[in-house]
Amino acid sequence: MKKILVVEDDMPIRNLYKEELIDEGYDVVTAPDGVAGYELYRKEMPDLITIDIKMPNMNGLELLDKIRKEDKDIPIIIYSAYGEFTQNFSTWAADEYLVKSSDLTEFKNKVRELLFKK
Amino acid sequence: MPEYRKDIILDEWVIVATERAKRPENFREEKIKVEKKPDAVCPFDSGNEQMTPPEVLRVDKDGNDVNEGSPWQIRVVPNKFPALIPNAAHLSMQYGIYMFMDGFGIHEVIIHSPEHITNISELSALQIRLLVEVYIKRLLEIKKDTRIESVIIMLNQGKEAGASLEHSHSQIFALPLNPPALMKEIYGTKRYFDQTKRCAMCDIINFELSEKKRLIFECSEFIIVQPYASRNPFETWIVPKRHCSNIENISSAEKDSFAHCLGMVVDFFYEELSEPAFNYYIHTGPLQDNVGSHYHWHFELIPKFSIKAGFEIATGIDICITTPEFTAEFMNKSGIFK
Repeated sequence: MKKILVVEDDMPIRNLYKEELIDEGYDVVTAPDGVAGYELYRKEMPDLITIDIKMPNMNGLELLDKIRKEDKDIPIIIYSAYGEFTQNFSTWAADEYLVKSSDLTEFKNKVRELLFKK
Repeated sequence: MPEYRKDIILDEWVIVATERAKRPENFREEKIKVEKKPDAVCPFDSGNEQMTPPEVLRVDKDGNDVNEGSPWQIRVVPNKFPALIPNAAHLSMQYGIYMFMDGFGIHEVIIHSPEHITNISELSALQIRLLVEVYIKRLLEIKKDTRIESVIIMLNQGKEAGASLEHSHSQIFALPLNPPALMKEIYGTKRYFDQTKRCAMCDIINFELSEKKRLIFECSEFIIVQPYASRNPFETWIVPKRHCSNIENISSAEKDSFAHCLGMVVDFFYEELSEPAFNYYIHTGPLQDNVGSHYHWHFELIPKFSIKAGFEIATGIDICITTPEFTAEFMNKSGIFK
């Protein structure tokens, strides 16, 4: 079973993603900020990571950089409420940048697509 | 006494603070250096090519187009997460009293070097020449899409100028319309031409060459000048002497000279003003029609030394806190422009 790490500071949203991805047949672990996300990444060795940008302690861009230093291949999706960070070229270190939506279809499709490519 | 000065192209006034003019050398103290992050993962570095979309152009150090996987000097890639979509429909539609169209356009990133250089002035003269060649090459290619009306080639140097990644890069935006900043210049030069039967920029070149107060450099193809109605301290223009509305029509010798001028200008800001943030851009005429035949393409560099405050925003009149004569003299003394 493929394992997904969801790093998201908003608890209801984090739980929603977890439930939706479990329904899709994935094993899901979650973290509420970048620091905890990095620890879980090291411990759990997930197959894919989704990262929010605006988070306490360590933001999503810092976490992205930290993980990419160790692993250039692991699929990473930035899933943010803010579209403006697409103009920040440091987000190019991620495989995909999606703007949050109440409809998770695109998000789940992208997860499936990136895991298939892996 | 401060002066109102009129921009003869835009037909707009600026205020130049002649009496309380800040001495040019004092701008060194306001340096805003890019915070270098040498250990950060950079999608533009050699070895990280897989982090960018497939390139539209890869050239080697000799300027040859080369295939993916070959050693490169400059890569051009589409924006990975674009705000404008090349395959969107280009149709304008009415919505009540308003008008809208799909976000059609092209946005490409030109990566200047495989090495992690953070300032364009770190490029050699040959690399700058190659960059100019790539600018023209991409412009000519983009122009083939007849839906594209205008192309803006630009660079953000430094975080305060909007650079989100320190690795030196330029950007190309191709739009299905002529942006307001360009249209204002096109209307302005047309108005000037209708009144005088002369090109405004050609008149500026002739006047600046005769007066020499704001002239920084002259060669057979270009001048470098501080504009008379300067909106910003050290605002710098590179202007071709040959009247030509579009940069893609420049000759090989003009490309050599333009690259030489560009290299000197960015070197000056790096060496003499302690690496300030700046934006530069090339304003070239519309691609698909002759509306700009009276237009004269040019390059503008705007350093980030001042912030527009309430007065500038409310009135549209910029206040320049030093005079272009002062800054031109300072630039001439640097010994860089030769």
